[in-house]
This record gives sequence, C-alpha cells and structure tokens, in this order.
Amino acid sequence: MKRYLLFVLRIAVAVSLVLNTGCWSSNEIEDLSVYVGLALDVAQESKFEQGIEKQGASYPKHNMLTATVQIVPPVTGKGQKQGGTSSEQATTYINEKLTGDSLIQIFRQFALRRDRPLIGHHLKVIVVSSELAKRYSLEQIFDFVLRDNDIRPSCLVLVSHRNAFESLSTSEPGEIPAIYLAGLVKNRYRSNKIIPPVSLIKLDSRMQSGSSFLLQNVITSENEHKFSGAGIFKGSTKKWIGELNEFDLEGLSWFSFDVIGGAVKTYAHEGYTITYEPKRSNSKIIPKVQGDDISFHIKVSSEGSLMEDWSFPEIPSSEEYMRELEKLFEKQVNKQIQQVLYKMQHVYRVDVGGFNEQLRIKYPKVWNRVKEDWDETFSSIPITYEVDMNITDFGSSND
Amino acid sequence: MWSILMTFIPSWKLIAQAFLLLAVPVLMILMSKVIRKSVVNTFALKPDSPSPPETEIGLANVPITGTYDSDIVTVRNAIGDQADVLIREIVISGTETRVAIVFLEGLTDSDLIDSHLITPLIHRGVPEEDRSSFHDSLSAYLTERLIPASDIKKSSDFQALVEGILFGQTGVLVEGLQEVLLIGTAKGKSRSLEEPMSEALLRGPRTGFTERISDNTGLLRRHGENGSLTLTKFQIGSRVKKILILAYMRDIADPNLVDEVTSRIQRIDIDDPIESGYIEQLIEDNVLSPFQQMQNTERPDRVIAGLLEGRVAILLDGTPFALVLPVTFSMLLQSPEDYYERWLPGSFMRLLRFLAALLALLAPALYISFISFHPGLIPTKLALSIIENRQGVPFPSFIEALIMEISIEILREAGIRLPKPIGPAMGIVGGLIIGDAAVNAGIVSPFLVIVVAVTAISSFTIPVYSAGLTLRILRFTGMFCAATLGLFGVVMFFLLICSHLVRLKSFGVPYVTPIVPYGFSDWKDLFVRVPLKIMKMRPVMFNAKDKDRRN
Amino acid sequence: MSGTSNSQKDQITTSQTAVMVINYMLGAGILTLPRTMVEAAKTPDVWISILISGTIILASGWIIVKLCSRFQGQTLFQFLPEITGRAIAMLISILVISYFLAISAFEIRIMAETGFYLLEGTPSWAIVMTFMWIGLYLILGGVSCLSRLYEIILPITLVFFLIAILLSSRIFDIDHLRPVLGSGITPVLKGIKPSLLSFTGYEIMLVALAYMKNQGKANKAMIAGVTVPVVIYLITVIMVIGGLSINGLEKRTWPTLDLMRSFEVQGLIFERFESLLLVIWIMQIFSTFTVTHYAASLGWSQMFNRNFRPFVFAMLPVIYLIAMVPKDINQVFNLGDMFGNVSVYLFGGVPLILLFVSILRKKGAKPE
Repeated sequence: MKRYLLFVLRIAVAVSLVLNTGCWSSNEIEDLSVYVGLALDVAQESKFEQGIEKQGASYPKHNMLTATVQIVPPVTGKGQKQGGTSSEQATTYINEKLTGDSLIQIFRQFALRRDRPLIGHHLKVIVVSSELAKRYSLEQIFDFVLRDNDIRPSCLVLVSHRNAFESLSTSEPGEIPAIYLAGLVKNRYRSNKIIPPVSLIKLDSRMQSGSSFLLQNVITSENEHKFSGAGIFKGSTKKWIGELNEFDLEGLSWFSFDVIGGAVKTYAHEGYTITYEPKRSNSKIIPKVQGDDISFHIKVSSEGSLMEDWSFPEIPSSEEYMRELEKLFEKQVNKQIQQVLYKMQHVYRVDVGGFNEQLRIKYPKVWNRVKEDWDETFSSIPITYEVDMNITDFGSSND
Repeated sequence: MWSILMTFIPSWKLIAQAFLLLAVPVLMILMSKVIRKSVVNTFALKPDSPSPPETEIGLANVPITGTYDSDIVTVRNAIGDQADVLIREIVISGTETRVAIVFLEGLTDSDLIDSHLITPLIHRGVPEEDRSSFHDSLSAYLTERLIPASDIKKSSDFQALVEGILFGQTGVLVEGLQEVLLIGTAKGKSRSLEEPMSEALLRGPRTGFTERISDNTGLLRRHGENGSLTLTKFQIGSRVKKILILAYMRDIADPNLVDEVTSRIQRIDIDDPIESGYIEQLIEDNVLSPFQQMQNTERPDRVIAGLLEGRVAILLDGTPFALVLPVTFSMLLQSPEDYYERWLPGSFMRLLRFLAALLALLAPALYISFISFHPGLIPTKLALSIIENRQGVPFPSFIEALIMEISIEILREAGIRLPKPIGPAMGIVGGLIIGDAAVNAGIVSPFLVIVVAVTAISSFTIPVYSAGLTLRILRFTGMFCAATLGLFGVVMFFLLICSHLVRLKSFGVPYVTPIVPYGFSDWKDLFVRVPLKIMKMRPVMFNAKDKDRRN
Repeated sequence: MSGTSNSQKDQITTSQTAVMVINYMLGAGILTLPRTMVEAAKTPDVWISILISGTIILASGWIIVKLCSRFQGQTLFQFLPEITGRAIAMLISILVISYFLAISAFEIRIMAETGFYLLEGTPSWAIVMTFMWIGLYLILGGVSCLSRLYEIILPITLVFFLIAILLSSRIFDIDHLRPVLGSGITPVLKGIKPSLLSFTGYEIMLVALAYMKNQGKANKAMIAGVTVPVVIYLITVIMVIGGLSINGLEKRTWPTLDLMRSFEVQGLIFERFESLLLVIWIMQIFSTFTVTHYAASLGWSQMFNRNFRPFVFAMLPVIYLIAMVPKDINQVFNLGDMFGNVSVYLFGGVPLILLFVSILRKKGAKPE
C-alpha cells in the first residue's frame, strides 16, 4: 500500500511540475501586434495625446520625438468574412503614434493602449525624419533599436525629407507602406539612383567606424512615395547635414557602387534625346600617395546598350556613330561625377564616396595618420577621373 | 573581502533549485527501477507455482493392455466426452480382430482415413495365406503390409494416444496389440497464400506467410535451394504447446547471436504465446522503450533478405507475422522495394521516407513552437497570413493541434475497425468534413489543417506499421515539449530521443548503427541505396561469419 | 544496461574520438569568438591568429597523446599516481576535475543567457534543468553512448551551421577583411590568446584515449579533432568580419548570432536563421556540457576507485550552483576568459612536465 502511495505521489509531483511549467513564455501569434514599420519624427503630439493630456493622463517626459509604428494586420471581426468581401476596402494596417523622450518607454506605453503587445521581429523599415536627425545624433536615436533583441539588424533604414510618419501611410488600398518601401530597394537593377540598402547593422558599423555615410531619402506627397536622393550624415556627429539629389546620386553611383541598371540620358549635338542603359560597370578608386600628398584617380568603365534614339531622320547605328555617342555619354557621366565631387568636397565637406575605404586598404599606414580628420582632409584632395563607355548593342532594332 | 565572498554564496532559492535538480532524476531512476522490476517479476523466469496442469485424465504411465474391451473403455473415459471425438469400431476382414479408429472430427482428413485406413482393413483385409502368421507379428504386419500411410507412430501408453488424437492424429487400437498406432492424418484448415495486407508492394513477390508454420517454413525452403538455411524447432508455452522455429543461415549468422536468441527463447514461460507479438515482448531488451526491438513482417522475401544479412528470424505457429532480429533504427524506414527498384529511385524513395518520418514526428511540434513561441522565425508574409487566419481561433495552438491530431488518430483507428469497403471512404469523408467544419467553425486555423494533413500523410509512408505507431506516440510527446519550451523544447525532445536511441540495443547491436559509428561500408545502404554491384559485403554490424555477399 | 562505463567493452573508434574532441571544442565559444578576438586585436586579420593558435593547439595535443600512449588503457586519473606519487596526483586530478566542472557550468550558463533569445519569460532554471536531466540520462550510458550521440549531432549541427553562415555571403564584403596585415603582425599575435581559449577541448584526450579501440591512431584523431574546429572557426570569423566589419561587430554581444540576424533569405521556408542556428547550436553546447560532466564524474570515480553513477548524480547540483555564481553576463565572460587561461597552463604546461617526468622516471610503456 505504501508503495502505491509513493508511486501516486511521484506521479502527482511530475504532473504538477509539467502543469506549472506549461506555456511560460508562449504567446499566440495572433495575440501579438506585429509592427513592420517604424517612423521617428520630431515631437508632434497627436490629437489623442493632446486630448488625454488635458485630462491629466500624462507621465513625466520631455517631448523629444514621436514614434509611429505600423501594425499589421489590423484586427478584423471574424464576422465580416461572411459578408461581401468586395465591399470592405479597409486599410491593411494601423499607424499608432506616441510622443516621448525614450523609445523603449514609448513602446511600453503602447501596452497601455492595445491588448496585443508589440513584437519587433518583423520590423522591415525604419524611417527617420531629417529634422530629427539634424537635432540628435543617429547613435542616440538608434540606441534602443540596436540593443533590442527582437528587432533584427537586417531592418532597412531610410531618411525622409519631411515628416517620417507620412511615408508610412498610403492611399492605395491593400498596400502596406513599410513592405512597399522595403521592396523598392530591390529595384537597384533598374535605377542607379538607389543606393545599396543600409540595414541597421551596416548603419551601426558605419557609425562605429566614424566615417560619413548616406541614407536613402524618401519623399512623400499626397500619400505617395518616391526614393529621391540621399541624406548625408557626418561621421563625427552622426547628424544629418544635407542631401544629395537624384542627379548627384547618379554621379556617385558610377564610382561608389557598381551600376547594374539605370539610364543615362543626354542630348546629341543636334538636340535630340539619346539614352544609354548600362548593363554592367566597373569602377575603381585608385589612391595615390606621394610623400604627404594624397590624390585619387577614378576609373569608370561601363558596358551597355543604346536604348533610345530620337534622331530624325533615323541615323543608322554605324560604328562611328556609336563612338560618337559614346563620347557624348562619357561627357554626361563626367558632368555628373564632377558635380557630386564638388558637392562632397566643397559644399558638405564629407567623404561619402568610399575614398576612405580604398585608402585604408591600399595605404593603411597613411590612413592611420589621416583618419582622425578625414572629412576635412578629403575636401582638399585632388581627384581625377576618366570614364569609358562602351555601347555593345542597340536593342532589337539597329536603325 | 568577506562581504564580497558572501555575495557569491548561493541563495536559498538556488540551493533549493539545485536540490530539485538532483531529486527529480533520482526519483525517476528509482521509479523506472520499480517499473522494470515489476515487469521482470511479472514474467519471471519461473512461474510462481510450477503447476503445468499435466493431465486431469490421470493417464500418465497407464499402459495399453491389449485387451480390446478394457482399452476402449479407458479411451472413452478419457476423451469420450469431447464433442468432436469419433470412435469407429470395425473388424479386419478375413480375421475376427476388432479395431477401433479414434480421431477428431474437423482436424483430421476423413478422406484419408476412409481410403487408407478403413478401405484396406474392411475391404481388402488379410489374404488367406497370411492369416496364420498374422497374429504372430500383428504390429509389424499392420504397418508393413496393411495400412498404406506414410506417418505411422507406435506408442504403448494412453497418455501419448490421447495427446496424439487431440493434435489431429488418428489412433488405431487393435485387439490383442499392446501398442497403439498413431497415424498422421492431421489436416487443419488453412488459408491460401495471399498478398500481405500490412506490407503491400507494387513490385515484389505477392506471397505472404500464413498461420500454418509448415506452410511458412515451406515458403522459406521453397525460396530457393539453399543448404545453409537452418530451422531449429522449439516448443514453447506451458499449457498450450506451440511450435516456434528459429531460422538462420548456418554459415552467415553470428553464432553468439543465435545462442543469445536461443537462450532467451528457452527462458520464455507463458501459458500460451498467442501471437509472435508475445514472443517479441517477452524477449526484447528494453520494455520501457517506445521503439520496437524486433522487426515483424509477413513477407518471406523480407525474412530471407534478413537472414542473408546475418540476422535471425523467429516463426511461430499460428501467426503470419515472423520476427526478424536484431533491428536497427534505419531498417524501420527501409522497404524491400528499395532493393527491387533500380538504385536511383530506390534511394530517392528512401530519402523521401526519412524526410516523411521527420515530418511525421516533428511537424505539429514545430507548428506549435512557431505559432506560440517564435513568431519572429516565420517569414513576414506568411506570418501576416497566419495572423489573419488565426484571428478568432479561441484556443492556443497547442490545444488546437491536439484537437486535430487526436481526431485524426481516432479517424485512423476507426478506419481500421470498419469493414474494408467503408474504411477508406470514411477516412476521407471524415477527414474532409471534420477539417472543413472545424475551420468554418473557427476552432482551428486552415494552416493547422494543412500541417495535420501533411503529418498524417507522412506517417503513412513508414513501411513498418509498428514503427509508424512509435512515431505517432512520440509525436504527441514532441507536441507537449513544444508547448512547454518552444523550439528549445523540440530540440530537447530530439536530444532525448537521440540519447535514448544511443543507449538502446537490440540483441547486442546498438540501435543507431549503422548511422554511427561512422563506417563507410554500412552507409552504402542507409540514406541512399547504392547499386547492388557496389554492395559487395554484408553489413558489418551483424558480425556475419561470411562477410562477402557474393558467396 | 549496466552502468559499468569503465568496462573493457565500452570502447570507441578513432572517428568517434575525433568527433568527441570536435564537439567539445565547438561549444558556446563560437557565438562570441569574433568579438573577443577583434576586441583584443583590433584588426580584421584575426583569422591568421586562428591558424596560428590551431597549430599551437596541435602541438599541445601531440604532447597529451604522447603522454597518454605511455599508459595504454588508462586515463589521466589512473596513471597520474604512477608518475608523481599519490599526493601530487590527487592535487592535479582535483584541479583537472574542477576545470571540467567549471567548463560544464560555463556552458550551462551561456545557454541560460542565450535562452532569452528563444524563450523570453521562461525562468532559466527550467531551461537549464531540462537540459541537464537529458544530459544525465545520456551520461549514464557511458562513453560509447556519448560518442555515438556526438556522431549523430555533429553532422546535423555542421550542415545547418555551414548553410546558415554561407548564406550570409549576401552581405559579405571582402573590403571588410582588407588590408591583410595592414597594421603589422603584432595585433595578430594579440589575437592568439582569445582564440586559444575557444580551442579548449583537446584535453578530453587525457580521458578519451584510454577508451580508444585503436590507440595507435590517437594522433590521427587528434589532428582531425583540431582541424575541423579550426576550419569552422576560420569560416565563422571570416564571414562575421566580412559581413559586419570589425567596427560593426565590436559592440555586439553575440556577433555570430547577429550576423544571422543581419540578412533575410526570401523564398525559403525560413527567412531568418538566428533562432535556427541557436537551436542547432544548443546541441553543440549540450555535447560540450555532457563531455565535461562525464569527465569530471569519471575523474572522481577513478580517483576514489568507486562506482561511477553516484558521482554523475552528485555533480549535477554542483555544476548548477557554479553556473549560477556569476551575477551578470560580463562576469560570465570574464569567467570564461579565466578558464581559458587556466586551460593553457593546465593542459599546455602540465602534460609537458608530466611527459618529461614519466620519461625520466621510466614510467609507463614506451609507445611503439
């Protein structure tokens, strides 16, 4: 009898152990708010916040930034599914805005407002407004984001010309702006106005290295978005100091990152439009050090096709004509490069073209000497460049 | 200094946890010892009281007197009250010698008795010239001249007579003879050779074992002329005696293995081993393991293939299921077809089966851990659609999965019990309707239905039915682990199974061979099945005497 | 089923010995290795340090094999008294055993610390206890069961690890690794020490060699056992630095995990690999834990010549308490560094002395 009693006791202990331990950290996926986009703005209290503050619902804080999270998918009643599906044109996301001075505190404030807590695993895009980045260093703004275990370092970082939260809203039904923005980056093979995506981890490593860097700029108008240019962040302060426009970016792309798509448009001597589509390009920044003098030489070569030619009457695509056009395109690219170099060296006085990397790799000793004040040194370094364009084909029609 | 040291002294809570850490496994070990002991006690080597009910008839050592009248009375007293015992009394023609033919109705071949026993005795009788010498050598004359039967035994006591009759022999009591003739006329009803139900193949022999052991041994013999096939006979069962045959290749099988199996069989003590499953459970290494340690099969070709690898087979009278042993984990996922088809499709099928086994084991557990613990691991788009699908599902994923898995198991069990024509239809209809209705009612999410269906289908690919059962049980354990500790729990579950598998042995062969230890020669027949021309050697793991497969 | 793990029957093959060494080496260290090395060396050239320290480890492994093969079929704990006499042997044995216990505890603690990536909210004792109980069940099976399990999990972990880390090539940038030797050889030498720490594990040969079926091949097992981790570490460090750059990884607590978090592969069932890697890597941590737990228990049992099983049980709470001593993660890392240092002296220096002493005092058989 005693044996059985002991046996029952053991079973009971085992069962209670299992029951007690059951489902500690389990949280059903539908009981969570998945946010895919995060926008950071200068403090701008929403009507709701102003309203509740009037009723005294507040906690001690300085209004420094406004965080907008984009939550998908919004809770829909199950009943709606039965009714006509075509009639509901509900948006597929919710944007939630809160203001405060600590990102994590703001995030935890959401817990007071939503029954489904936020999880950051699926965060795809973070948009920072240039206004905010002008005031605070990115290191400060992104500190929480980089520490958080949920948010993946693969998340894309963008800067917005105006309010960042605007870039997270759309008037197109069925579209989730954050995912849409993340998808735009993949179009690099179609346009050389898109810089290689800067993920959180890349941002972190650039901030740690102390060099200046670019973030893709997104502008919004009428709830529609476009990538346009890039914001420049100075390495020493990590603050926004200005931006390169689309045309500058094209110039930068020729030597800073390999061009795999896009269009170079210029005008022939007679004034008609000709357009070249680069298929591949090869660029090299060659640092030269003689004594204390550093100089760079940029070598760009590109292969592509002549994709548009408005000449009238049609000029047949002869060898000489091609050479002639190549010269024109080279001139155009030269112009682009010259402009962006001028902006970098004389307007903003920062190196965002990767010159420092090449110097570091080729002349590590020299680099160690100059790296402290590189941006200043860079702005007075002579840079020469040569461009070589090759039209290898002219599409399906050759006249 | 002291205070710094003090901070490193663990708190009471930690010590309590450490105690718990120690106490639980100690308790578990004790518990498993108790269970093991009670299991061993139940099937002790010797029965508690040695009382095989030898004979209530009390015929032991009662000799046959040769006096016809008294002998026939003794027989009648012993078995005359049995409904199926028939006693036919005749007189040998030409003499006045009375003869009683005692046999069982239904177990004996009455044609044979009529034509080969009664006809010669009544019809032909003893010819004129022999009548004088007939009585002098009665026994010899009967067996040598009169009764044209192949299987005639002589016995001089009633015990043997009665037992012989009850086993289907025909007893012939002759007046004036102090012996009895036992003529082998047994003819049990047996079914014809059919394709095995549980192990159907598209390509391969269509015969399966039957319930009659002589048929089964015949099948093995008839497989091909083979001098080294050895069939050793055992009689087991204390009340109901049954024939058990141990089959092996004399010059291939490891003698140590044969000895081990023999000694384990001899230790069996049970009133009646009804099916070979009884034998399996009585001689297996580990009673508590969820994994089978012997392979059961209805296919003679599978048995022969096993024997040729150096394994040993056990056949039991009364069941079509033979046991092949030892078995290792990888064999549970092998099908004879792997060898009959060419090596590429064979290997592909086998890889597919490994994948299916993995799915059948872990798919619901992974579902639970992803949905409830690691929403970050799911691709974003999939996560979004799952969230939308699961909106309004009232249960946590564990309960949800449990509901569906249990209903699938019930359906499957029901499908087996139902008559053949209805079974599959019920399975499909039931599955479809329950799945669809459950989704519509919002009890489960459509995604889970996919997972459960994939799991169920995967588990049907396991070629050994019993192994499928093991996976089904373990699947639920995996789900519990996932529900408690998420993906970590699943990994712990996997490690636990692996730890168990590496400790498990089947007749001295570690269960995980040939996966480990690494050995190229046995890997040729593991995940892929290399061309037969390359598989020149017998598996190393069974320690075959003759290592070369080409001999 | 009997627990006589020291019996003659409990033998392991050469490949199993090699796998045991590999699995012991590949533990929690790989998750932090790129950071510790870069912190010490401040150069992307740390992969050279790995090659150098791999060679050093091979040399000390060779010494251990040389020492052990003088005493066929005996573990360190059994032959020590022969060389040094009882008192010193006791001292060294206790040191070695405490080292094994400490490593075991360290792995447990690291697992508890990374656990929150997987299970936020679950108390760490629950995670740790499940882990240790399963380890206990395995260890009771003896050395052959241990090595069999290691052979099962090694290919699984390696394949998943290699797939995951090679998929990170999409963010790999060779410029992060250049220039080679840009700041000279001195920083590379500085990187050797932290990398030596992650090579602790070859010392299991002191125990494992006694169980080898073919002890003549011990050197082969040693070379294979060291080479595989060298290659794995090399790939890891190169991919992590190439993916994150030394600036990016310096501030990450678990750089190898962060590398996995830094890219997404679309179109596969898994887009994200960090939890997958962590889960798979738990198996490696499990093997390091079990092998050290086993070695420590075996050490006690052979020192006192007692049955092995009670010690396995007794070591459970000890390891747990040691594991929970550090207050925070920095203390854990410091502790890890300390163990690494100890290991260098204990298993680099002591075996050499023992070898000399045993040659001088003509103890043990000369290996053929």
